[in-house]
Amino acid sequence: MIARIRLAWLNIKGMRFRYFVPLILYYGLYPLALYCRQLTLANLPGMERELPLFACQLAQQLFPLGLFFHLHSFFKEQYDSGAQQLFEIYGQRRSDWLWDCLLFWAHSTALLLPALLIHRRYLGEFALLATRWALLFFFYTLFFLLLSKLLRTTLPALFLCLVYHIVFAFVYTGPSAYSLYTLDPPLSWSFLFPRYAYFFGLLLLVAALVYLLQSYSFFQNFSQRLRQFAKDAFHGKHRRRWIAGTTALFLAAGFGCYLFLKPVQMVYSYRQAEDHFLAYLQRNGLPFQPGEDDYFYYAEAVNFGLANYMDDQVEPDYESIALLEYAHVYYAIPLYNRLRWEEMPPLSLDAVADTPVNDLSMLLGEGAPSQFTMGTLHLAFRRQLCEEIAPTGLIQNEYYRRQVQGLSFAQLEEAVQTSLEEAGLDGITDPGHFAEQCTLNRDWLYQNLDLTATQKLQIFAYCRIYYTLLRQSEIEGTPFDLSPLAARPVEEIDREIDPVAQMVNSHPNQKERTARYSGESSHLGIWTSDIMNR
Amino acid sequence: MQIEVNNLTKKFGKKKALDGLSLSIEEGVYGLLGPNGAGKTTLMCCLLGVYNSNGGSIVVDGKADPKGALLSAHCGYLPQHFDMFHELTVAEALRYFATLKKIPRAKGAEEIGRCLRTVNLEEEAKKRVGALSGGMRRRLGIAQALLGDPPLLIFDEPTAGLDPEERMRFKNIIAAVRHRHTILISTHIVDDIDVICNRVMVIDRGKLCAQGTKGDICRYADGRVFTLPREQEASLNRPYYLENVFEEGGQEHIRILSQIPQPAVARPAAPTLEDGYFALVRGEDL
Repeated sequence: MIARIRLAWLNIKGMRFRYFVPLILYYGLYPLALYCRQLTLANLPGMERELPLFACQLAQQLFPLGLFFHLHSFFKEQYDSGAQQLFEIYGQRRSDWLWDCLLFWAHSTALLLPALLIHRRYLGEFALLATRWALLFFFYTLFFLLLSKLLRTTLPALFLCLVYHIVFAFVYTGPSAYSLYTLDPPLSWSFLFPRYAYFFGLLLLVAALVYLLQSYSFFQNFSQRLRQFAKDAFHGKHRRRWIAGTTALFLAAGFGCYLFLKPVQMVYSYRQAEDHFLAYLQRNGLPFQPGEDDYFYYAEAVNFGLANYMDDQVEPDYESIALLEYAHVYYAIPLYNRLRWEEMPPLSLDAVADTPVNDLSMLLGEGAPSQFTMGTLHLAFRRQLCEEIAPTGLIQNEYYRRQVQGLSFAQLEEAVQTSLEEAGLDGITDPGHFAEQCTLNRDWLYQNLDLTATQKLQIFAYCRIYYTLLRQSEIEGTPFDLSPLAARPVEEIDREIDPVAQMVNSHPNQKERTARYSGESSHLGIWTSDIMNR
Repeated sequence: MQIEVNNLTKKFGKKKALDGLSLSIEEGVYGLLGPNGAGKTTLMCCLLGVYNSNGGSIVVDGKADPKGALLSAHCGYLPQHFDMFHELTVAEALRYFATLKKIPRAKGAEEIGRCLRTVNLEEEAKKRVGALSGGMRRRLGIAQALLGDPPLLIFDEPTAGLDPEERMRFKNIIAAVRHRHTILISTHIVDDIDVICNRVMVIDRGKLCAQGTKGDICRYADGRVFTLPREQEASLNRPYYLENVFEEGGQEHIRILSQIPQPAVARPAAPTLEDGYFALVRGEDL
């Protein structure tokens, strides 16, 4: 055993700077990637859920690569060098390779454990993690050595390990009975052992094959040829050409395989989903662009299931879900930014462009923003409004113009009075109080089941003008008179009212009034005209 | 050390690399001579247990050694392509082999020093193996074979690709260690054998063609070697094998090997080891 440790030490010395490559991966690249991710998610309240997922996935992608690099560098002299036979001749005991395997595994695992300890906040319980990665490294090390021993070269083993790793850590990351990796369900002792026992069964099979096959001359012949080929190719005088040729061949074959077996894209980033959404709109003659009102209202309608987002070119499973989730995110983030409390951080769509759109949708639905983006009275009102608009074939802003902004103030007043009579609210004795309630506590009106959404929209618009001018007169001590507005269009009055509303909102007396109400949006005070139809 | 190889057979697929080969090795320096692909390396690998044979037996000092365990435990081997540990120093590489050969640590440093002195690499002990020339690396290969002073040394094509100076060094090293070891040198370069070895074995197509002293091998060409001016070549009776062309008295001459009588213009010459070797491996063509 001490002799094997001495040999291992010399092997490590022989690796020189290559020894540090996995350490750079574990302690340089990995934390750096996590930090960068943390920066991109800095403004996202659901970061605490998103970051561990990213950390686990990246760990599964990076850590085994470090192990493969070490495995190949450590054992290549023994299996691929020009004097490989010397290792077989000089008194090698049968158990020596097993000692090598155990030593290498213990060493590689020990190198990784501090990284797991450092990042346990994201990766999970340390004991569970350490066991899981130790088992994973043991599986790979034993498989690599068994195959290298059988074939007398490390290259096929390295290739197989890499292919397996790329397939299950990069291409297909979903749950699979054949995958050593797992993101879902979360790690647990009861999950870990039955799963890895399955793979150790496979290892036993490989070990039995090695034991049986290595004494057969046909296999010796095969392994001899394979080794000679590997040696000529990768250590001969044309090695640069071989390596370049093989790399090109693998890339071409990989691309061919990709085209043939093109995996279904299951995860779409926000940016990708936006591209697909735009492509859908273009294909269907809806030339809206992000940032435009029409685009926003279309996303709102899609979000409420009232507009189409699928045609024959949209994949029915993951792509269509991504488009729906995109519409939700595109609609919900501005909604949150508008309605959030002052102390809550704003969200930026640009900052989350590379985040999977389903994660964002989930964060908006389950995280802190959900109090403004899920199951609110405002959303129920907007849904009801969109349902009323849908049969007209109009877009929400056109409808608003027709029902509110295009009317004169007198027409709007009349429409409001009719609505109130229909709903049995005509006996209002204090119109000022009614206007304040509808302006500062919209939930009160939202909950009224006798009014349509269109009627509510008109009442909100009327009450906003009424209440703003009333408060202006109270604050400034001027007479309150709405008669000059009668013939003027509401759209024009709305624009004029905005600075007045801002003045009223900032008045200390008004702040006291606003504080009396505890509706979802009461803290905003009097709304500005640009959000009245949002 | 006495090694008896009886009727040894090794197949690679359908091809027989060794075809019922029998030979015996005792004390001395043995040259294993044969063309490329004759089975020299395969024979060595079978002796050392790298390959399992398909038939026949190997007996070492009266004990059967089917897996090559007895020989490999008492031998130093220089493979055909000794090229490894480029990043280690010469001393570290030798320490690696000393550990592999289970030489006790206390004795290891002394052994490494002795072997480095023998192959004249003492001054390069701290150089990286990757920085050594091809000849120096070969000498390092010899040094690792000498570690532990094993009774049997097996060198596979030790001089292939070396310049004349390095070949001379190799011959000197062998001359220095020949008295303490049984040495088996495989090569297709007859000159090396001629100088170094006192016993020669010629193998071809997996079979032993002849075994004996250099004189014994030379005798296979007795009466079959002729020299004549090149311009007279047309008068020769066929078949014959043209061994080489040389200059004598300002005139170009040729040296041929033939089993049939030749005209008087072809003067009989005393056979060399090379003539004997060609007579054995080209005998069927003549």
